[in-house]
Amino acid sequence: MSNDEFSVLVVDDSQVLRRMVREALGVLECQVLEAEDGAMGLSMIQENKVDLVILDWHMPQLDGLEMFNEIQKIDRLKRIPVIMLTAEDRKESMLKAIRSGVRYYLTKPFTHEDLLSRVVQVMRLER
Amino acid sequence: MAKVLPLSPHEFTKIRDLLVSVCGIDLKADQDYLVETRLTELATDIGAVDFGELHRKIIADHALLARVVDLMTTNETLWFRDDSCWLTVKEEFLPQLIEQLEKGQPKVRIWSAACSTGQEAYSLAMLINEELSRLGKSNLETRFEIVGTDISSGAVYLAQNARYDGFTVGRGLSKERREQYFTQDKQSFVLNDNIKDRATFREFNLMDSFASLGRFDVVFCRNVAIYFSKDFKENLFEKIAGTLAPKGRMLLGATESLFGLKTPFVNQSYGNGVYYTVGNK
Repeated sequence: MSNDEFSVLVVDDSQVLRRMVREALGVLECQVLEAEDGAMGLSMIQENKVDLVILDWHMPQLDGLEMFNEIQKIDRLKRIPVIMLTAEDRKESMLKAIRSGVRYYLTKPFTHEDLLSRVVQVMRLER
Repeated sequence: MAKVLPLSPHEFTKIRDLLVSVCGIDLKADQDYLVETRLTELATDIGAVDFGELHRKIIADHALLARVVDLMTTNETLWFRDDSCWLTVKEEFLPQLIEQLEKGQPKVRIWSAACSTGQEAYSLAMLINEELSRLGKSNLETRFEIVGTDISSGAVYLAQNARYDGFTVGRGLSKERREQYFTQDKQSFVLNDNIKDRATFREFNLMDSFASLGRFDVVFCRNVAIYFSKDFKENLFEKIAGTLAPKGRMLLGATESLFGLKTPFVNQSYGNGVYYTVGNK
């Protein structure tokens, strides 16, 4: 799989954050899809080829963990890796996400180096 | 893939003691969640069923420690980080390295020992390019070999890729250098081949033997050793000393020193900068 066939779904209700992540991912030349809440994200992941989800926690409609749990109920989607990128930094929340199967948990503010390093690790594992 | 069992208080105590004694990472009693949230992926990757097994595997294989440190700390790097370091390289190191080449040394080899996403190695390539150009000695440029290594496969990939987003390329890099050395495409800033080709990158664990690396004239080991215990630091610096060519030098981060450590190195100073040589090399 070349980078431009690798598709990342960014789910965040902040347009600024989605733009920042899109800009950071630009160096990898992968496809980037955007959703502004969990419900839209859940719909998009079912309608598009998605190889990785970068997911905020607190969003209207369906929050990040609820969206993750919904994905886990769908056999063909449940192995798609998820990176949680969120301002939610309470330890109970982090543990809940990791114990549910979220691959990496990054808290905002984040460094582009850390986010991209994790994305590359996932890309390599999925190839 | 089997899920790793949640971290127990007993396992946390064991891992916490290990991290503070060996890596110098001093977790507070309520930071158990950091171990679980950052090390679960590693535990899964190496097939540990719980954190007790992860602890045993780290004890048995110290190479895992570097991966632990990588996961427990934050990577952050800048272009031309620490002015005094780059002034030392420009005014103290490069004239002598150029002279060594002119006297017949085939190559000058420089190692960026924890290169992250490549900014240090490429900053060096830019500085060499500028100095050689200023001196009318650009013919020597291909005889400088820069090697970058990092424990993180993701970081090494990004360094080799040599593409940076607008935010990253702006951190420490002047507008003039950005325009001189990068080509902007619709998604990112792409480092020009004349600089990109000067550096090579590979995954490497500083806990492993350095035998495969060869000799270096300069080693950048900045902001790397801060997380390790005294014993591991001494071992690391002993191994770096062994890789240095005669007259070789080592650079540390601006806030680091070898104070209190038993190493073969002696301090040298240039302006506000400090560097290290082995004895009277």
